[in-house]
Amino acid sequence: MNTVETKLPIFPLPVFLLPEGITRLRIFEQRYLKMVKLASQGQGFVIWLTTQDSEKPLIKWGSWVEIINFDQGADGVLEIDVKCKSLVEILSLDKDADNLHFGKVSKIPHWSQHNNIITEATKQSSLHKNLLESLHAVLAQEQHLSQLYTDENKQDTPWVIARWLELLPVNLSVKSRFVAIHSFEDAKHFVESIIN
Amino acid sequence: MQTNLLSKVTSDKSRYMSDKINHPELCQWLDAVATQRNKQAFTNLFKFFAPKILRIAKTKFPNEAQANEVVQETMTNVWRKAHLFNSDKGAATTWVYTVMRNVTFDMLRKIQGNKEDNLSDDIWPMAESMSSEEESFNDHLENKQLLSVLEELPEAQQEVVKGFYFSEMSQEQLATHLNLPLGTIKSRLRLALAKLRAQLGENS
Repeated sequence: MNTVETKLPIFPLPVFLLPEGITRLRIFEQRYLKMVKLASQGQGFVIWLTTQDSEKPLIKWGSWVEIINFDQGADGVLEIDVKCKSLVEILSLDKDADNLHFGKVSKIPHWSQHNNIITEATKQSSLHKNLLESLHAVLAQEQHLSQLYTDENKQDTPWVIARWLELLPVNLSVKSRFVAIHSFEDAKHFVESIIN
Repeated sequence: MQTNLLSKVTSDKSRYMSDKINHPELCQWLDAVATQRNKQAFTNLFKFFAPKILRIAKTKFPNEAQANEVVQETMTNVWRKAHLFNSDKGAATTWVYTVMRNVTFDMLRKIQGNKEDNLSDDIWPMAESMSSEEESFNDHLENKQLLSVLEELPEAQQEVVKGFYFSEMSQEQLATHLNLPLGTIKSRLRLALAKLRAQLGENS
């Protein structure tokens, strides 16, 4: 387990992203433009899954992402594609003069980064093939997704389950359950019960 | 307001600049672009007009990217429409600045139309209201606590978020992709969530 602490910019967003997940963000606020500048020079930034209710305690994990592409939207707004490289625990939070959050974070492992949790039998199963095929169909048909996921070769079950979790229209609080390191089996059953 | 401001700047500029500008040369360049698609002539026009257009555009748009877009759009239109320029009717500068004015209006209109896209702090108030010290960071992966601390976004915001970040499908999209009726998707989601809740209960 990696216990090294890193200080990174933090971007609070209601976006659920697991390792290897890619999403496109539109950046227009000054402080987040600054964040992108910092992130592109340094080590990326953290998408901190947040929800509306601030009264109660907040989640303390986020998706550490790197900027892999950028473009300008039709309206002149900066669009960046980010890819999650790890989940992190957010250990502390500060704000700078521009109201940009910074946090000390440390990496937390996630099942989607461990392909060896899958047995050969699982890989050959029809359930897995079904999930894989339907996911690839979705990625190919949705234009914004096919632009992001250009690497079609992803086959392994954790990757497929993780992408389905990101895409499924369920509450963020439900999705957050599958951040726990040992939640792979639960996640797999959950996705399978909806897709198959 | 924008209209007056813009046309004033434009006409001031052309009057002021007419002292030093080589107007016949600009007209020749435009003509070369119109009749021969002459790239060198267009390069000359670009070098002459681009910095001026950018300077004016920066006063109209807060965003530098948008100002650059004005330059690009204007010069693209100059390339495409050079044949419409008539030197008998006015100076080349006046014509180019008119092209620029039209581009600017189009863009301002577009921005007006996109107003609802401009999310800001009022949509993400939770970012402002958190404080770092007193909160403990324990048990952040504890499932039950997660379920209790998180709540769904109001529906209107969800719509905005979905359109804004491409991270999630709608139930309708999912139904289309899986070639299933929407009702089936809804009941599957309900069942899956119920099962999950049951598991959560057992584990705790």
